[in-house]
Amino acid sequence: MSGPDDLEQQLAAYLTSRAPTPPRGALEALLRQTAGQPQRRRGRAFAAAGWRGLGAVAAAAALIAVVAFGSGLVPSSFAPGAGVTPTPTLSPTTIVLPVPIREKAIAAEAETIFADRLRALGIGTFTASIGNDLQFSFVLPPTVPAADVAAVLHTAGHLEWLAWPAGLPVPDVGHPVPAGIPVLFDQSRVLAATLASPPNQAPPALVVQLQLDATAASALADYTSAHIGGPEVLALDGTVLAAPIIESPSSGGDVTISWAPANASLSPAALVAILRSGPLPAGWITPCSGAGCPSLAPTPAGSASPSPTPVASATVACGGLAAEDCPAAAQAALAAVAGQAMTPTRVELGSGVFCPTPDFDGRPIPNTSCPSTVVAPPSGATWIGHAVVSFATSSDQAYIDLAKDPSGIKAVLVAIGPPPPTPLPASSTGP
Amino acid sequence: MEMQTELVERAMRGNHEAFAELANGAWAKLYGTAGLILGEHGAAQEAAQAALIRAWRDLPTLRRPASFDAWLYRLVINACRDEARRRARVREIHFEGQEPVATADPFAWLAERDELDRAFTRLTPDQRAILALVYYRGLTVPEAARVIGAPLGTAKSRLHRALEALRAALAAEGRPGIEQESGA
Repeated sequence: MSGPDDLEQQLAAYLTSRAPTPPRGALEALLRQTAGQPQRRRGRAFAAAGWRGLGAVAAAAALIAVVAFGSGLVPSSFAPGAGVTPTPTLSPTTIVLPVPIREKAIAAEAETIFADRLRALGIGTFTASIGNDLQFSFVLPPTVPAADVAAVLHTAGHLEWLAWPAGLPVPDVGHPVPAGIPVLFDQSRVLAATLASPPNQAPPALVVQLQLDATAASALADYTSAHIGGPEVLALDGTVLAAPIIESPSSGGDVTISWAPANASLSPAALVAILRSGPLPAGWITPCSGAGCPSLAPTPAGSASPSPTPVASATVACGGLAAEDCPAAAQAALAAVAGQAMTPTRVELGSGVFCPTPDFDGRPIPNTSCPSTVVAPPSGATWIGHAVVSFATSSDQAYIDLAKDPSGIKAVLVAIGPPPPTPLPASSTGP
Repeated sequence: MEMQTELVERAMRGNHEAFAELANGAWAKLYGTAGLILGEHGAAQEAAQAALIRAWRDLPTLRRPASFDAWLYRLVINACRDEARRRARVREIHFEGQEPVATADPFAWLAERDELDRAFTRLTPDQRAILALVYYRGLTVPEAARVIGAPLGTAKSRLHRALEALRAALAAEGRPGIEQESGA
């Protein structure tokens, strides 16, 4: 018989030898990521106007940050010297993209195209997943150009050369193309799309070089010969991508596109990635593809979509709270997390309060005051219970204490963190 | 220990260099613990990274710098739980891209399939967690109880059951010298 000591000794040696070693460079990459992230400050925040105000400011900032697709993209042969490389920015680790359709085949095809586009951006390892909530979650390496990733995930990728009618004004870059404009050819005629850095260009810039097939080359040569002085209009997803004036006939089927300084939302690399992968399937609905798309903004890891769900859509469980207090308590709890940039999905109300102890673990104590009285209710109010708010794409929960005074119910955000420890699911992956 | 406490205090005040030093000291063990619990390289990396990201973000909320280690391991255990749950309910597609894939698979040992491997694999993640904390990380049972957020009695019971399950699995493998016991 083998005694426990024998097994325990074997076990210690076994675990030490079997514990995996982290991949080289993983920690360094992680530390580069955390170096750019703010820390959460300790303290309690009172709900009501303060959080609403913060939410409004955040929403306004998000809207201001939105940049229209395609602005300022001009073929270099007609705009010599114009061009900058968008500055890559630190990317979040997770980008959430709603899956707008329920047909599995279409979603699978879109998934493959997204994979091709991310590879074309040089992102070698990433994970895409489809959960029950019908969304792709792209977990990306810490340092990727976030704008490029957002662009390739939100562009259908239909590039068209248009036969622009004489005399019809061309919309500004980024604006919709009127209906009924004949198409000379589309991206299916592009044989190759490559990034290039023209020599002797100051400042250094990247351009996109396209090689057209013979049919498209011939069509473009014929069109440009017949329309000297007119516009050569390229449209991406139905909006004007570029509209240079034709100065000379095109020949050979080679087209070079460079970037005007104003363009910062669709980089040369993103356009190449889009063209190499081909367009998204016809049934795919790009969630938002133009100006005013706050949902396009990548979100930090563990965060939900930046488009907050209306307060009324969260489900509410009244629990042990008095029924008459339930609606107002739920509203106060949701207001308390309005500035968190996460979408609340559920509010669970109950008796007892959370006490901000050193190792706060998200468990309410059954009476309505903390033993050490480290947290006092708002002036003139008394504690009536607590709320736990769950979010759409984060396992974190908000732990909130609820107080009541003659004017109504007030919520005090105690902490946001993981749920209290519970047994691990038995069905998870084993070694 | 004093040095670590000072580092924690500096990191709590937003000093990222101090945090990096703490992370450097803890990273291998954190990763190893996550790997033993989850048993898969990608999952272990996700969990260990999530724990450290959260550690940096939430450090200012830590009330006792001396409890940093226990707090950090609680974060990684919670991250393992989240990762296990996520992988249980999500259809996941891994894409391999242009970057060369490392040839030295840190989990190649999983293929060896000796008795202890198979026995350990049969344990629940909960059981693997308590065993990893006690026999790999070297925590005492009360320390492990604090990390997993369970009363001491529950932790003792879980550890006992994990050892029993391991012993039973080894007996089922027909490993010489191992018999199923009724007590610890």
